[in-house]
Amino acid sequence: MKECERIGELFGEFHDRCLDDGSEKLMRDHFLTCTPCREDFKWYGFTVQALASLEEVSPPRDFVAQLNRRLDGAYVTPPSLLSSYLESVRNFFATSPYLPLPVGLATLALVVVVGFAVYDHTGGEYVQPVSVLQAHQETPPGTMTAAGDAKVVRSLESSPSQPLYSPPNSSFASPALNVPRQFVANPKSLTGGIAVGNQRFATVAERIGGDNLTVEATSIDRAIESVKKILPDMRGTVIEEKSPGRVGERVLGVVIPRGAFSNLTTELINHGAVAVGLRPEADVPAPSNSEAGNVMLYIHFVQTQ
Amino acid sequence: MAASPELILTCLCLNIVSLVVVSTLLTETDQDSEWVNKCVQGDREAFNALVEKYYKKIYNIAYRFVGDAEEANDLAQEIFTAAYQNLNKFRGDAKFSTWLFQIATNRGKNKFKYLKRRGYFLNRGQTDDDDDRESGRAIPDESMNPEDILASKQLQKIVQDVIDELEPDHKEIVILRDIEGFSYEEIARILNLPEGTTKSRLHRARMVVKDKLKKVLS
Repeated sequence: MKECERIGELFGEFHDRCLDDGSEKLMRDHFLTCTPCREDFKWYGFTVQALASLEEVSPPRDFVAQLNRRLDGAYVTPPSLLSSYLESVRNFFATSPYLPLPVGLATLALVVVVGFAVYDHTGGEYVQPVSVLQAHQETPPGTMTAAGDAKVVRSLESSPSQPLYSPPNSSFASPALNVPRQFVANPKSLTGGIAVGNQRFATVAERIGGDNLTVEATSIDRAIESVKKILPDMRGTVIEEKSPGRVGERVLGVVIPRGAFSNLTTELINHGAVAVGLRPEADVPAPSNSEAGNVMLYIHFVQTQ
Repeated sequence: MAASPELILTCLCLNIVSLVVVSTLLTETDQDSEWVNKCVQGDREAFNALVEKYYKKIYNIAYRFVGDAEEANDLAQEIFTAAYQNLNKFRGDAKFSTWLFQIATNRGKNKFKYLKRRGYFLNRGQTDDDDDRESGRAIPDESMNPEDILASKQLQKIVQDVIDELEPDHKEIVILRDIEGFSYEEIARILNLPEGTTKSRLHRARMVVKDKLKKVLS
């Protein structure tokens, strides 16, 4: 009996010939042995035929005339200027009603992406992207590469015996310090308001961005110690040292005079590390008055093998 | 493996070109949308062109919902009037015909519910039965062949009476699919239902009609 119910459920698909070969064979086999189901299916087919055989009825001859008389009294709201404008915007890309709004929006998004891509490639010197391995092999120490999508990678691995610290009189000059901003682990926990004495530095930190600078080091402890040694020479101080919760990562919050920003970051890059999120000095946001010309910077240390 | 920027740009450009081409092709084949646009700007002739194109189909749908020529005429007029008054709300997300058939189905279903609540179909059935008894032809003659049975006026009336007894949801889907011959895809768009639901609802409706026909004709 249960099988008959199951067969009954498949009448529609069997009638429309939408069943797969296996199910169709099952139906035929069942009809051979089950007379009630066979009869029922005959009635099902007859029903569909009977419905389809209903004759077309003709509307009255004066249907259109009647309708016109009726419509003469009907009022159609003329389109407002705003709705006309919205309509033209909506149909800017989807000129046919068959192309719905999402398609138009998707096209607009594509155009914007292409626009940005073209702008990015024509606005500056184009540099072919290089792989990490290539960068290791090709980038000579102490030189910086122009922006584009190039990834400047010079990790401490390339000079494992060299400490991060360098004497203050070392060359800080970096004429083309323009390292692309890349998004890496973001020490969000440190971007809240932090006060040092009467000063609050969070605003600048937030304006610089949580991912100010990432340093890859084979020994995080040694790298942090080196930074701490550099800071007094720059009249900078460590205000916070935290672990963001991931093994092999530490974040150092430092306050340095605005003028020393370039020195510190250049120093870090000149002594290895992956520079992430650095910008040209001109792009460094100006500290607010309350911050007395200081800049707060987060240095994100990441352990490398 | 990273794709080069040139490749990405090329793909995006091709994508845009194909969208524009598709858009152009569709625009050229859509006479309705042109009439709709003219009509929204106040061109009554454009609306007349739409009426000429669809009024027979709309009248037939209306007739199947109410089962009576006079009521069907009223309903079809009401459907076109509603479409005319709401043309400025037609957003163009779907075809004009889909939108028009949506109005027809909704209005037809509402009219059917209204008439059913008022006992219209019961009273009419009673009157028709009396007429049939007087003329002595209630049920098709068994000696007739299947084609004749299907074509007979009696069967036409029996089938209309059976669908008048259906639930509104069953009635609309039977009218759209089995009587007016819309595809499942079109029905799904008109009724705003998934295609699977459309099929299963149609199957249930057909089973109800089958049982009723079996009862009447056996």
